[in-house]
Amino acid sequence: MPNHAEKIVLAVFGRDRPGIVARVSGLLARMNCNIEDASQTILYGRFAGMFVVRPLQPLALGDLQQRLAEDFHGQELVFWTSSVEKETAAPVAENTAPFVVTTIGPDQVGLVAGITEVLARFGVNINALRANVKTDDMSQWVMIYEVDVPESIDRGRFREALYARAEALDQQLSLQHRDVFEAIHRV
Amino acid sequence: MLTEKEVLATLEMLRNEHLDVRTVTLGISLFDLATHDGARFRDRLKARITGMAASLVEVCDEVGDIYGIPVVNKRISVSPMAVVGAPFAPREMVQAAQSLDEAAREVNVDFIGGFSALVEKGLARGDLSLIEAVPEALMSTSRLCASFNVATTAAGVNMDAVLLLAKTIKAAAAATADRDGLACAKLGVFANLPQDVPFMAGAYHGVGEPNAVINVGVSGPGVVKKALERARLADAHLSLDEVSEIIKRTAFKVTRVGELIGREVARRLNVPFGVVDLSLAPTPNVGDSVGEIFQILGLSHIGVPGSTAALALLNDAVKKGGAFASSSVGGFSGAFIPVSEDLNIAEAVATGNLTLHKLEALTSVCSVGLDMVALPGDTSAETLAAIIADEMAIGVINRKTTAARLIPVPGKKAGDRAYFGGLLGEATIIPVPGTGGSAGFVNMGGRIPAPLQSLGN
Repeated sequence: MPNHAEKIVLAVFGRDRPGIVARVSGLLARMNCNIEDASQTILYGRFAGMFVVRPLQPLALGDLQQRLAEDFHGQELVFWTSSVEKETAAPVAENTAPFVVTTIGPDQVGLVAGITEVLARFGVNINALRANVKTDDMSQWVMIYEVDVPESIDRGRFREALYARAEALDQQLSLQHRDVFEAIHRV
Repeated sequence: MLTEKEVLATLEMLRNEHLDVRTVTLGISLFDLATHDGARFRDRLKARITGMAASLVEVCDEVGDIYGIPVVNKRISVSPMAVVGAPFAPREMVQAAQSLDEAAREVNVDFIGGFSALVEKGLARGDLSLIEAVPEALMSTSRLCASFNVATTAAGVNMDAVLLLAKTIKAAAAATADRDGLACAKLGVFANLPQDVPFMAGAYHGVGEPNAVINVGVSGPGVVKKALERARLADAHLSLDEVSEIIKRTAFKVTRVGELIGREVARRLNVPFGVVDLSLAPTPNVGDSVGEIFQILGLSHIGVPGSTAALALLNDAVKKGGAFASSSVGGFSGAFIPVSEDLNIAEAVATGNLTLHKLEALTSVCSVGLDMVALPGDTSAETLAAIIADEMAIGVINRKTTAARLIPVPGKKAGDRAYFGGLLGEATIIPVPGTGGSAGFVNMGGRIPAPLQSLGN
């Protein structure tokens, strides 16, 4: 008996153009799959989209993959699917506080690796990351990390480690609670 | 997700525009400590302050660190000492002042306010005692501030108190003659003084306030100036109504930061949050000046014709933005023009573009008044009293706060420089036109009655 998924995560990658989401969602509708969540981004003309779908009738991952391959044959799109088990649908989250890390300084190899190594060491998860943020000064490279800092860690040590790493990388770093950005800019 | 613009604009405000929280002030009630026994009172007072404010500085620094917004000053205000210590003789008032100062030093706050008396309608025993103690109290302390409410719209102007305080200012200046009369920089005389001011020297914990409260004073002249600079660069034909809109939006942002920090500090200290004071408060740093805003608005200096109109626009726009940003607005809430504390304003005085008369005119449309104004040392008590009376009259008639923080600098004359140090800055001594011509009027004494404006019921 095929392994029927409760929910499926579908990721789509490829050269960006009009109609990708329309065609993917159209196929999902024809297969009686409800889209429960979706997110997409475009970088350098490349599209990446993720959909969480719930089949309304039994559907095996393999069937979905096959239909996608048939429908998008020759379209230069890559698909990835994964089933979401009930128990893993909502991982037990530790209490965290939302912070924003920014670095400003000269671009260099190992910049992201250097900063994120510290984040990883303290169990700090990144939930949004932007590089190549445009500013007036072209020599300055700005990166913005939106992160969740676990409340259980020693924030003073985390801050020190982060600032020390930024100094070694010749970056001006700031670590601020996210609320301040919303308070200042949003009504 | 935050937008890049939101993140970058916030960083810019912090790094290059002096965005900070100027003061977090913990108000502490002392009324339940009242006793005729001076020694016992002082013990209780120190225990109360050092107990309640034990972690104030640490919490402010921690919260400032989390949000990346520094809290520049941490302060305490207490119930008006003339009321709490009503039974005390002047000697005991001096001792109480020193205990306040010691407590402030122990918890490492920058200033403690509340060596204060409310005398708009008359001078009670405690008031007289406290006023007599002021010169020694301010001379022998470093963090203590004194404030006096001598006039309200409801009561009029107590001219006896005005003259008595003018004499007290002279005595306080003489007591600190070696420091250019520094004691006077910590002594404010007010009309319509609010009960919840977080700024010094006017801060005291009012009789209508709870046991403890956190009030916040925001900053922001640097942020306003940069916002206007950017707008003028982008549009050479910027009109004044567009200027008002920019200031309003900027004041909104600055106020939101103040309230965010204040509420978090209050939560951590487990005391209620009081108010955000919307005043634009300068410091003696380049780029953090109210005076510089006038130059962005096309005036060569603060003080030249057009300055009163410009300040009216600025002050109004700050209030509109701030009032929208917070439902808990209080204190002075207006722009400050403290001469020695603002490099640009001090320079306008030094070059003669800003005169005492123009300062008085400006105070009719802004927050505080003749603030940190250095006067010739030989200015008589009667002339000081007359200057204060004029300032009080503006407040009483216009239903607003006005104040005088005047420093008659001993041994110095108009054009000399006076140095007060730190945030208090330095200033050129301003000439007093018509000095010595007011004695007959102020010596008549009594009270200028409450104006018709008081009959609002």
